[in-house]
Amino acid sequence: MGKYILKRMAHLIWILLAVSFLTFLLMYLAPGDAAEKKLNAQGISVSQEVLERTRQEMGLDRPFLVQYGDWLLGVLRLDLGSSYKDGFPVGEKLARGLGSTLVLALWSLLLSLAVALPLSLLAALHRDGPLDRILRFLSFVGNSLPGFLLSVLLMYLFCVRLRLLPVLADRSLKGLLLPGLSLAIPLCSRFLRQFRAELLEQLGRSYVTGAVTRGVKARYILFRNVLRNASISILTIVGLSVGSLMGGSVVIETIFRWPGLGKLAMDAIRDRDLPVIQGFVLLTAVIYVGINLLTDIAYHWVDPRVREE
Amino acid sequence: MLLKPRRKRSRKKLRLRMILLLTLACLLALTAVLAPLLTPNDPNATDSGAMNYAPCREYPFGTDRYGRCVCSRVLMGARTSVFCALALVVAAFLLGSILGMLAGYYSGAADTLVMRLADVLLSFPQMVLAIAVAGILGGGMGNAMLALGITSWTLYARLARAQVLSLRKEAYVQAARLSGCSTPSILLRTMLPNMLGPLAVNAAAQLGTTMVGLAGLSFLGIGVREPHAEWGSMISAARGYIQLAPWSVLFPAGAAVLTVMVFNLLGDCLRDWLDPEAAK
Amino acid sequence: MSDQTVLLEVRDLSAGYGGGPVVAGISFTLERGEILSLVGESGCGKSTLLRAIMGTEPDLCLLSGSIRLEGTELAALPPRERLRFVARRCGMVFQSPGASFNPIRSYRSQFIETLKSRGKYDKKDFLPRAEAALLRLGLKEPRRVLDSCPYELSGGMNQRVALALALLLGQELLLADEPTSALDAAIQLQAAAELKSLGETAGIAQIVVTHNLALARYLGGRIGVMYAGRLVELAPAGDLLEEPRHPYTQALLEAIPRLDGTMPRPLAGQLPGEGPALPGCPFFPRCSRAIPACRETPCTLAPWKGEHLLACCRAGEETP
Repeated sequence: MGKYILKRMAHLIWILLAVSFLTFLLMYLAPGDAAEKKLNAQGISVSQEVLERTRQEMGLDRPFLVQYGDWLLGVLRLDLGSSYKDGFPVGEKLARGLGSTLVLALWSLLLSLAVALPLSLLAALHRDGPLDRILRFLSFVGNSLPGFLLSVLLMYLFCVRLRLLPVLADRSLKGLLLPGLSLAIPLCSRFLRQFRAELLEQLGRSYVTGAVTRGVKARYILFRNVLRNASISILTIVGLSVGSLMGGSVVIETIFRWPGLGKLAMDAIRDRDLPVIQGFVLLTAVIYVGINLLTDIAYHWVDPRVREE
Repeated sequence: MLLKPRRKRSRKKLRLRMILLLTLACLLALTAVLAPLLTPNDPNATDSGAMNYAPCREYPFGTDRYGRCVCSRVLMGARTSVFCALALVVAAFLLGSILGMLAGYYSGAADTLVMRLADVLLSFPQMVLAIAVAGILGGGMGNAMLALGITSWTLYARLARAQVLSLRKEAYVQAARLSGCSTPSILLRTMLPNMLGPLAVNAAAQLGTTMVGLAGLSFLGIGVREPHAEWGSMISAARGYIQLAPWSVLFPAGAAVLTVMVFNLLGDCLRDWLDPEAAK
Repeated sequence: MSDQTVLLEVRDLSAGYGGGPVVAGISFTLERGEILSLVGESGCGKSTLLRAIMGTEPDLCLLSGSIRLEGTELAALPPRERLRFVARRCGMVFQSPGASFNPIRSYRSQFIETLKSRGKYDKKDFLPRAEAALLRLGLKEPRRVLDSCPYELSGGMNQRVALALALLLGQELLLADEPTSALDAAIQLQAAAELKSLGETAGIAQIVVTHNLALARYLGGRIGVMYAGRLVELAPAGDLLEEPRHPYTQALLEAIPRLDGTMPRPLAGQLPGEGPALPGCPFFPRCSRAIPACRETPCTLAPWKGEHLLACCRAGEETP
């Protein structure tokens, strides 16, 4: 187990290095001159002389690898540069956004899990029954609804037609409802479908038949055996869903003006504020990689067969 | 006792569904191709005298805030959405499968390079990377496609590589090799037919996701730009005055959802068809 | 309660999966502590018969006939109750030992939840009793076995753990489906010895499905020969093997490879496929001694000599 974690850590470092390189390369290759962008973002009129000076200040005249190394050293010290637009340190901006995004993401994740887990179990137990068919249909529809469309429709329904909720999200429960739902509905649909498949797989295994013939209570079979064995795959599914959750939150945060990472990123894209975009991409990748590492470790912890290897 | 017996699905029914869905998909493609001929009005003509009209005989889906015919724009939008998604999936499919096959067949350094690149690209949440790339490149459909394509090829590459690695051990592939068949011939004639199924299932499933992704980028303003008609950007532009003209959101939304559903159903159906064991 | 010594009584049983019957016209009785081995080709319905008795498979339905376990008619019970009733009295041993247990949970926890489900769990009592049962089946380190998961133990050990649980539960009937065929040849004998001793010393009756005639002979008790879903011959093991009467049993015995160098004689032809069953003897198309009457006359299991039962219309004649 310890050895495995060490091995994964080594892999993690390698991946993070490559991720940082790719992120830097992306910004380096961005069309247009970084110095010009910075000056534009600050609203300073660009003269050739000012431009040259800014280029030198930013170190843009140095070779690519030197620039990357310099930036990476900064990143390791948690210094992601400062925003072109207002000069604020990118790290601080991201940290502020991260909190809001976490609130929204966790809330939708919990909501999806709370709905998908029991329903998928019911659907699997009543395969091809009326409930299973209804759930299958609903999860199919939910899977086909893009998040942005869902939020626009929900907003139209609840804010414009029914006038039940505020259009802009705030941190109250009411304000969280619509953005949370917009994120949770597609997620929950996918969970339902994947959890159900996994539970059916487990229910068809011979250990279930064995337990039934031994006269073990259904409660024990389901909760101590089937759900436990399925939790291995369920963990992986949830870990992988964090990626789409983060992508989705960019859209949802922009629509509901939720002051999280996604909105920060979209504002930065509008202002061509490269350091902020760079920081955002790097941060999400680190979170994503980190969560998948955690689910992997948890996987090894739950399944003793893998634990021993 | 816990698991209800599986209802037997007849192959005949599946085939019927497949034909129906293929017909629907073909109809969608045909609409996309013939869109310019089908539009009742000029999709880009603004009319300050006909702003926010409710659906009527002249404008079947109403008009938007510039007096443009929503129906014509939805039809033209089908062209953009379906074509771009199709083009992107086909490109990713070809590039990914070829890279994956070569990586699997030659293994060694080429394999390591391609697979590590895929690993790194998959370390970014796909949509986040796409938003960043499209945002930096400054929007436009070409850039949006590029942004999504950066990661989507990895799916096929991994799959094709895994298939090649397992097929390489098969007796009939060994036999082809020993009898002196050239590498391209082994890859294309012996291996490709055996892995086309799983690859195609994934491609069909990816069509819907790609459409949603492209529409999402357009919605954020970093995909197709106004006045070019595309469902995502139409919804984005019209959502500000949704209480005045809900039809200018609802019709493109309906079109997008229906199209995605058809593609997703087609993907499921294809999977059931090619892999009856996985159908549950 | 009809007869204290009769544990299981199957009468004229037919069962199948939706379509036609897979097993038909099966009748036999099993006394407490008795071992009955069912032999026959693959696909002859011997496993289906076991499952029909157990009743765990929802799509396997009884078409006609009766199964009485300890005098209670199983066909009359609703599925859930029936399962509970049977599970209290019967254990099942599967072909792949250990497959009936969750591979990634310890035997201890699975033993406990089985006992708890049946109201037989006593915290103080559990460990010594479980250890005694495991020891009795020759597992030297019962504590370690209890704390292991099925995936950590060998096939033979898993088999013994399954038997130990049956012992612990005080089960009266063990239904074993090919209990030795997934084990290495070296430990097959040991597993067989354990089954036999469970019958002799613990008084657990057993129905053992196998295609291994040597195992059936070793277990003793009675042997039932099945063909195409029917029981064609049923007799004490010694009688059946010494003096097989049914042409199919004879062919089956001749098809066994021997060490003395005589070549086995394979049985020509195949099991009848699906479709309307012949009115007469199902073995008719492959039978070397068939007469035209065999095609039309249905033959049922009837006493031939003492305990030796036979389903053949030429039963009374002497073997040529």
